[in-house]
Amino acid sequence: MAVVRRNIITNPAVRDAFIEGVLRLKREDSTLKTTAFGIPGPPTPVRTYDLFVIWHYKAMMTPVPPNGDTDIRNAAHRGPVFLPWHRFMLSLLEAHLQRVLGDPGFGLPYWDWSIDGSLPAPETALIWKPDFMGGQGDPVSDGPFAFNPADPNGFRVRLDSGPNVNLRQTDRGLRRAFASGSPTLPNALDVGAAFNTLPAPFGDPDLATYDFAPWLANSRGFRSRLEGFTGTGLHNQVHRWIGGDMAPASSPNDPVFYLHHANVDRLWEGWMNRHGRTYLPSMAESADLLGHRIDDPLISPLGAGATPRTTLDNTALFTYDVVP
Amino acid sequence: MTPEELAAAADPATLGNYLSALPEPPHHHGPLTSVRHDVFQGHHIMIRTTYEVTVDGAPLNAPLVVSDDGQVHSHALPTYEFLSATETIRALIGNFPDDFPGGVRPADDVHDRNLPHHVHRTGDEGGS
Repeated sequence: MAVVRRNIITNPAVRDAFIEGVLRLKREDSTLKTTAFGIPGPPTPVRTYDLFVIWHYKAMMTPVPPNGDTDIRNAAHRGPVFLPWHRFMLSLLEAHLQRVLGDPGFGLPYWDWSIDGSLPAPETALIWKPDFMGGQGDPVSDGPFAFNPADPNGFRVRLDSGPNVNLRQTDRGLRRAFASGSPTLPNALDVGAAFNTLPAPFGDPDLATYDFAPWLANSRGFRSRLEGFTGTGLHNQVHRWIGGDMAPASSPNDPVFYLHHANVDRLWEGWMNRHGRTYLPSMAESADLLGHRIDDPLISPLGAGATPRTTLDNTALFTYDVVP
Repeated sequence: MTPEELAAAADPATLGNYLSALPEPPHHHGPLTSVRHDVFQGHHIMIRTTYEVTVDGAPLNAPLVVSDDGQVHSHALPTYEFLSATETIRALIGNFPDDFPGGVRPADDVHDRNLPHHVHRTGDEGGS
């Protein structure tokens, strides 16, 4: 039976379950060590939560095409597969959270950042209060993910990526620096504009189509608008506004990553409600797009069982309490 | 995809073993070169751009590329696009404080960090 993904602000029980589940995954030994992933340094146990950091990093470092450049297009970003890949990633995290919580009915909550983006001071929003995700800092010093140097089982960042985009070991608290990379969050007008398919200058009819050739970061269509390489910024802008550990390739270090991407996924679901469960590019496109075409396997442990097509209708897995 | 399939995959070893078998990501050992092509009035234009950057005299091997529209991008900050390489390096310094020791750190108030904000203007041709 499908679980329901709910707004974290108005559902304290789901909020508390999410926090507890994240902390359990942070404590759980995956049984693999850092050396298994080619991460320099002494062999160190990798926690299950941190596997998702590695996954995101490795997908981001997989160029498409294989002899191409990850900065141009990679297996999870800067192209059509951005939304399907993250949808699957969230679903697998949700399944892990259900496992460690012993609750198959748990649904990953979402954070509707466009509401906070309409505030004059988004840093004062409820989501950053100690009962929710805690606030900003280096390290974050309040809330459930606050750094306690004396607690080896507390929330710590153990893997991150640096300026050379190398995955490396570390041992420190979570970092956030609000407004460091963008002066504010996207607001409701920005989201509304992404759904506005009226003729120019009132809207953009291309937004009724998922994506367009040449299938690059800033191609026309809805995907690039939601990813944030065209228009006002949306997904990208949220990463930049939160800053700190949300900025580099290791951004799943911050649990807010999942609340943010659940909202991005909810917006995609809203688009599909309007325009159908359609996706481009098709398999007729060049193999140079391997990994982005509709029946190409995602970078995922399910192999051929997880493709963009298999993510288009996931209503058997989850629904949202409100779809815009 | 069914809930049962996902539940079966929700095992740490399943994800961990899969990830450990993936190819090693490419490592950046030096400056990248961006090659841009354009055709104008029947002329073929090729622009090769290589940034050689030092910070405090030390080489910085962060990957910097220029897209066809002239924006600068570093995969180290994947959600940013910059109008200049200078903005990019400033953002790298601000976002990776442990990698740039010394200097003058801003006050503890993170609002004073004065990191360059992302600038995105569709169609802008700046910065390369």
